Amino acid sequence: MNEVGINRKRIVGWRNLIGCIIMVWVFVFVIGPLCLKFDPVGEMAEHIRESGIEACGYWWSDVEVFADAEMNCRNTIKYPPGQNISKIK
Amino acid sequence: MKKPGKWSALWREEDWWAIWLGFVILIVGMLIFFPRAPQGMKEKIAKANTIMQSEAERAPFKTLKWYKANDDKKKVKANSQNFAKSIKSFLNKPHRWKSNPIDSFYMSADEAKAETEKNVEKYNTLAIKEHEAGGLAMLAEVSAAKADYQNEELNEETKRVIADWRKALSKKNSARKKTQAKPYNQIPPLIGLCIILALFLSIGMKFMGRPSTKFIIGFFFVFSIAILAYMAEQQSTMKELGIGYAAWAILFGLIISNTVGTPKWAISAVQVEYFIKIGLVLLGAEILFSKIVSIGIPGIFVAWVVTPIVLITTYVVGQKIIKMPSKTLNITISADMSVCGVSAAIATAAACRAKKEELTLAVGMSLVFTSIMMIVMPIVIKALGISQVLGGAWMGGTIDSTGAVAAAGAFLGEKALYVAATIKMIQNVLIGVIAFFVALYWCVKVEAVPGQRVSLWEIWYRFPKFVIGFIGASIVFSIIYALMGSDVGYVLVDHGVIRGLTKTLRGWFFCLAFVSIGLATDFRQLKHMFKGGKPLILYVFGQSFNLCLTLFIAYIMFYVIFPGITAKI
Repeated sequence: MNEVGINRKRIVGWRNLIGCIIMVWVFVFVIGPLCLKFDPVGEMAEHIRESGIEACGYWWSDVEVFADAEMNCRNTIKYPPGQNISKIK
Repeated sequence: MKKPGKWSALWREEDWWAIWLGFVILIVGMLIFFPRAPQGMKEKIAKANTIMQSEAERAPFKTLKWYKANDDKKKVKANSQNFAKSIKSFLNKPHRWKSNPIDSFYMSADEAKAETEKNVEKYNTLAIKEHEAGGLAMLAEVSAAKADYQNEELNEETKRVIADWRKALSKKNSARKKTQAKPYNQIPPLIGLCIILALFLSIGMKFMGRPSTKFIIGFFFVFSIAILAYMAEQQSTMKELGIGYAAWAILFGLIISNTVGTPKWAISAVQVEYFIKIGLVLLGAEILFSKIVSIGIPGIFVAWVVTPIVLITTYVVGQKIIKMPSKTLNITISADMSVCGVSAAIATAAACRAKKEELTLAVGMSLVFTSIMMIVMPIVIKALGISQVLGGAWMGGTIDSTGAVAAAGAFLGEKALYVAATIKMIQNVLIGVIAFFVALYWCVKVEAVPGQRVSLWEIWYRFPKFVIGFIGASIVFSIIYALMGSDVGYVLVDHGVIRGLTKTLRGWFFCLAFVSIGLATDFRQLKHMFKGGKPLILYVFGQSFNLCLTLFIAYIMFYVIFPGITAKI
C-alpha cells in the first residue's frame, strides 16, 4: 500500500473511532436514560439506586448482600426458631 | 503435540506462572489479614450466638433480638479495620458518577460535604420510619409472648410486622451509606497500582522469554482502557441497567482494534490468557465448599442437580440437533448460561482453550439476557403470585449474573433475596468442578485421536495446568475456612483475604483480560461466528429448559421434600 493509501486508511480509522465514541456517548446519555423511562426498567433502576446493590457484580464476593444472605441462612439453620416451643394449639 | 521440557515448564510456561503469581497474592493476603483479627472478635461472635440460641429456644419465629444479634455478628469483619480500608482505597476502581466523568476520580472535601448534606434529610426520615417500625414490631412481639406463643394469629402478625421493620432497616442502612461521602483522589492510587501490576506481571513475562520491557510499556495502555471500562460501569445509568465492566472492556477494545488498530507498542501487553489464568487462580480461593455445606440443603439440590443436567443437555443438543460448528463455543455458552454467566464462561473457555471470539460471544449474550431477565423475572413472579422463597430459588438458579440475581431478588423482598443469593452462591461453587471436568473431557475425548487410547502422561501434558492452581486454591481455602469455622472464616477469609484484597485484584485481572480480548479481536470473525444465529438458538433453548427445570425442582425441594426448612427461612 502506498503512502496515500496508508494515510487514507488512517483517516478512515480515526473517523470510525470518533463515530464509535459518539455512539457510546449517545447510548450512555440518551438511550440509557430513555430506557429508564420505561416503567419496569425505571422501577428496577430506582430499586438498585436506593438499595445500593452492586447489580454489575459477576461473582458472590462482588455483591455485599450475598454476605448478609449467607449469614442469615447459616444462622437460621444453626439457630432455628421454635426449638423448645410445644406445638401450637 | 509438542511436549514441553520436564521441570523447566515450571518457570517457562504461562499456566505455571499464573499459579505462582496467583498464589503469591493469596499468601500476601493471608499474611496481612490472618494475624489481624478485629479486636474482641471471638467474644462478639460468642455473644451473638448465645443470644440467637436463647431466642430460638424462646419463640417460634425470629425475634427482634435474634435479628439484632445476627446483624451484630455481620458487622465483625477484618476488612472494616483501618489498614484494610487503606488497602481498599489503593486498589479501588473509579468511583460512581452521573454526568461529569471527573467525579469518577476526584471529589473535593466541599463536594463530599454537599453530597452528605443532600442525603442527610432523607436518611433522617427513613431513620424515623425504621424507629416506628421497630416499635410496632416490639409491641407485636410482646403480645405474642404474653400468649406464650400459642396464638398462631398473633405469631403470624408479629412475623409480618418484623418483616416490615427489616425492610425499613434495610432502607435506612442504604441511606446511611450515602450520608458518609468522603473526599477522594483516585488518580495517584491508580497510577501506583498500574506500576505495581506492570512490574509484578513482568516477572513472569521475563521468565517465559517474552519481552518484559515492551510488556511494561504496553501495559500502561491496556490498564488505561481497563480504567475506562470501570469508569463506564460506574456511570449511574449504566450501573442501574446492570451493564458491567466486562461488556465495556470488550467494547472499548473492539472499537480501538477495529478502527485505528491496536498500537504496535502495546501489543506485547495484550496477554488475554495470562490475565485470565491469574484471575482464575484468585477466583479459586473464592470457591469455598465448606461455606456451601453450612447454608442450605434444598439449595444444594436445586443448584447441583439442575445445573449439570442443563449444562450437559444443552451441550448435547448443541452438538446433535443444532449442529454447532464449534465444540468449544458450544460448551462455553452451555456453561455461562447454566452456571453463573461471565465467571463460568471465563473458566470454561480457558479450560477447553476456546477462541477469544467465542468467549466474547458467550459473554455478550449472557450480559444481554441477564439484563432482560433481571427486569422481567420479578414481574412474572409477582404476576403469577409465586411465593418469595420459590421465586428467589427460581431466579437464583436461572439468572446468569450474580449481581443481577441480588437486584432481582431484593426487588421481590428480603426472603427472595436471601434464597436467590444462597442458590447462586452454591451454583458459583460448581464452576471449579465444571472447569476441571471440561478440561479433562477435552484432553481425553475432544482432542484425542478417535479410537486411540490416551495415556495418563498424555492427559497430563495436555491438561491446562492453571486448572490445578484454580482447584488447589479452592481446596486450600476451603480447608482453612472449615478449620476456622464458619463464623471466624466469615471474618478473616470472606471479609479478610477475599473481600479485602483478592476479589478486587481478580476484578482488575479479568478486566485487563477482557480489554485484551477486544484489542485482539477482528470484528468480522465475530460476525462470522454468529452466522445462522446458532449460538442464539442454543442459548434460548438452554435457558428455556433451565427455567422450566429449576422451577420444577425448586418447588419439589422447598415445598414437598423440605417444607420445614422453607417455613423457617
